[in-house]
Amino acid sequence: MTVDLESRKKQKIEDQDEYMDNMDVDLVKLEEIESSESHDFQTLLKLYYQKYFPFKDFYNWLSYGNNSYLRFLSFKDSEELKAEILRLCPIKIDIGAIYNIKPKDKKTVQASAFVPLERELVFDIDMTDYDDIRTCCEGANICLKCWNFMTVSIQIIHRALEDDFGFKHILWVFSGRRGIHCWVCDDKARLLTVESRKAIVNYLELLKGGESQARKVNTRGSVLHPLLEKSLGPCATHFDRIMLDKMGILNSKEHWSKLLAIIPDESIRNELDNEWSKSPDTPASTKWDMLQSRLKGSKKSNLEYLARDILFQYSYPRLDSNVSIGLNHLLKSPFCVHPKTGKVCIPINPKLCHEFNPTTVPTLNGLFSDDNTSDFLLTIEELEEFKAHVEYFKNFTLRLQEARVAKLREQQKNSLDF
Amino acid sequence: MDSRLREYPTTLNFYSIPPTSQINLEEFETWSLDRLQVLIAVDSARLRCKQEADIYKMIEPVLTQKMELKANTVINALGASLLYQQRKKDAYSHFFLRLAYCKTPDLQSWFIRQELMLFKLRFTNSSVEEREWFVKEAKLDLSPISTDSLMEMKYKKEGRGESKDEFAKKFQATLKAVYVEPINFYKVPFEKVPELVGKRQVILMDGFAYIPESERVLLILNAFKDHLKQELENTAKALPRMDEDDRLTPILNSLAKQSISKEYRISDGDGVTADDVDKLSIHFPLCMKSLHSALKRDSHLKHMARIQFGLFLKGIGLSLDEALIYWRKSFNRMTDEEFQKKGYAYNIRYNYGMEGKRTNYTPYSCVKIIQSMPSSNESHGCPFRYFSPDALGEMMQNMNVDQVSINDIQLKAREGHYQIACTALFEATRGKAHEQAQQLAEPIGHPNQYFDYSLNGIKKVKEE
Ligand code: SF4
Ligand SMILES: [Zn+2]
Repeated sequence: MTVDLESRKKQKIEDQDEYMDNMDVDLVKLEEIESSESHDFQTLLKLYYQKYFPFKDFYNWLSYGNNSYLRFLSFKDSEELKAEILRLCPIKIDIGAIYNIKPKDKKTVQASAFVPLERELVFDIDMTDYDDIRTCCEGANICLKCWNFMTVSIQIIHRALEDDFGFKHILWVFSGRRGIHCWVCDDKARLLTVESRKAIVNYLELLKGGESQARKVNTRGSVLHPLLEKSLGPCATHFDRIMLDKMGILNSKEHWSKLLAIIPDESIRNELDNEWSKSPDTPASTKWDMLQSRLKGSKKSNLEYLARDILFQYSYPRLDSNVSIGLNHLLKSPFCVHPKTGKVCIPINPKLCHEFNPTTVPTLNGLFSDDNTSDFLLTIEELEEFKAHVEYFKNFTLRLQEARVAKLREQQKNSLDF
Repeated sequence: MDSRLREYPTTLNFYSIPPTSQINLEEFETWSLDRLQVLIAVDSARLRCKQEADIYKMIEPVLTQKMELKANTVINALGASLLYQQRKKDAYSHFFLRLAYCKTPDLQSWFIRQELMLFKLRFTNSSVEEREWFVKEAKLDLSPISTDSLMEMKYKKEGRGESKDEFAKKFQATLKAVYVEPINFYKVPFEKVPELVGKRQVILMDGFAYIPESERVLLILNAFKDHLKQELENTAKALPRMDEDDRLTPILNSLAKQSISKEYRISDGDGVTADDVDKLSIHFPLCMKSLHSALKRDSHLKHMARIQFGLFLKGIGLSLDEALIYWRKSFNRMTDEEFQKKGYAYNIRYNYGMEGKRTNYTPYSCVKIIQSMPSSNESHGCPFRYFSPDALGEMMQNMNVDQVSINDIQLKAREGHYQIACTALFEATRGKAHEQAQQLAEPIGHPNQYFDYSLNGIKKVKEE
């Protein structure tokens, strides 16, 4: 495993040499303490690791049954891992691929000889990719309205990974700020080639074209591919409830012009714009109906399904494909603390993803605030705000373990049969 | 059917049964070489054509000449014995080349690429009967799934609260939307057909792709590829024992060298155009820089220099068509007619294996360039060997090399360490920031290697 334990100041410390003997840690520590706030952060972080970080489940997950090795980190057990993390108190724990050569020895060989062998299939969905369509917040900010993009994404991607690709060990994690990560951990997924990963991403991706291209979705024909057919429901619900209603994408000229720009036919565009400008208070759903029937009524074949494409463009998941395709990307570990927000990157149960509220996830400060002193006696499993997430994570690692045992049994049985 | 053809019932061969009869060394060598010519033709045709039909057209003459295979339909006209001989040569030569191309992963993947393409071309150009026969003979487990059973499976998985008829109707529409001709389906792990998955041209269920009859060829190609890969590994493991046959080793080694020069493989030829050459010349090693400037100065290069520079350009990815444009432009004091008459175009096509012996020439290595002997009015060869120290110094000054390095490089060149001098120049001009400069654990061995290191290093620096 490439575990990247890093602090805000990218400066290597001296005493890491021996630690780096058998793993690739780009280990950096907080050298200069900028303010008392960051000093607190470091202290609380240590406390958090000590008290709450679920080392045992974490270890069970990443060792994939290979006890004594956590990828390239040679830790005998979760206790040793814990001791090391406590010693270093890393501000960030990033997880990368498993390489053929100890990452530490990387510099002794040609770059081309250093190749990643195994890597979970990962997905990264970030709210910034929705900035062109969300009306509520911008940049790093999120609210419950735009969080729905993430909820829809989990629903759609999770279903496809399970039903279409047959994956069983899928972990969704809050990225700590404005997005989500997905880890597909099946044996088969970890061994996928770059080519296969690219195929999966292309299969899942729908939006094409850069900023200059207004129309980013182009499905043809009345009948959709099953993937899109099954995605249409969640997308439509999201579009109606969130985009039209809560975000009001058709309520002001400023916003609806963006949407109308997708329509390539100028006369239809102007016609709708005029009509909506005349009575801007028409309910959004009525406006949307107008648009739909106007497009359906046009005889042009490229407009017939345009309304559906617009709906997809405003709600279908937007993946950062590079993260998924390459094997080299580092991804923040579950249960680490986001250094900027102080929020804990807790796993999200996809079945309950609509209940997840990113604005109330536990933060480092909150966990150790004075009002919470009574809670301080509780373990992570007992803390109300963590409970469900820890349990979900534990179950996830248990199911991985069960699958491993079942596979082993199968292998033994087969070898006896011969 | 003639009993001799039982061994090779069709022109298509999965190459499962290794040669059983004795064969003399000479035949071994000529058959191997003939097949190699075919594979090299496939390789270079692939670089130049996008469409498979065009690739086939391009290699057809080589096939006819070196490895012709006649179909069973002409058995009466030509006789079974000829057909048998042709097929035997095809099979044997394939197995011979396996011996030469199993040794390194690079050789293996080159061989698999060409053999797979050759097989694909032959497959698509064979008759339906032949194909069916082959599929049967190769014992590929390809039992199709009918539309109805696919629907059943889907219904079991997804049909909720709707009648089977309703579901079937919708499913038929879906099939029509996804497939061109939805009749029979084959179930494969999705990662076997990445292109179809990526384009959503298949239905996926539980990790399996259901590919249509029309794409069945993909399965056969997959099987061919997997089988060959496995066999090459096996051969590689068995080879040490064979190495004891001392007569074979040199032949095998030379066979392996013909397609891939030891240090350098021709890049996939994407994108370098005639107009790019000048821009890219900052990455040229000294030998090519001096040819490039001589060409600019004189609008002409002599024969040997044209070969040395022309093959180098081919190596950096200049396609035949672009090469013709580049040379025609560079010889700008000449009329089109003169250019044709003097055979320059022929020369260029020759370099690309399209004329004469039709060998796909690879770029010259340093050793070869250093050994060549330019006369006083020629400009090829290695400058570190043939330039006077002063001329060398001047050239380096023009490249803004510092005086300490210049002295050092001049000294190395004078002592006869040309490639080390060349390496030192690379390091001096690329600087320590250039990641590749520090990686030159070994001296430059090939001008194209110099180019690659220089170019890729720049790319890297820019990205960061
Ligand atoms: S050493 Fe090789 S690359 Fe360098 S100038 Fe001589 S021939 Fe060219
Ligand atoms: Zn918001």
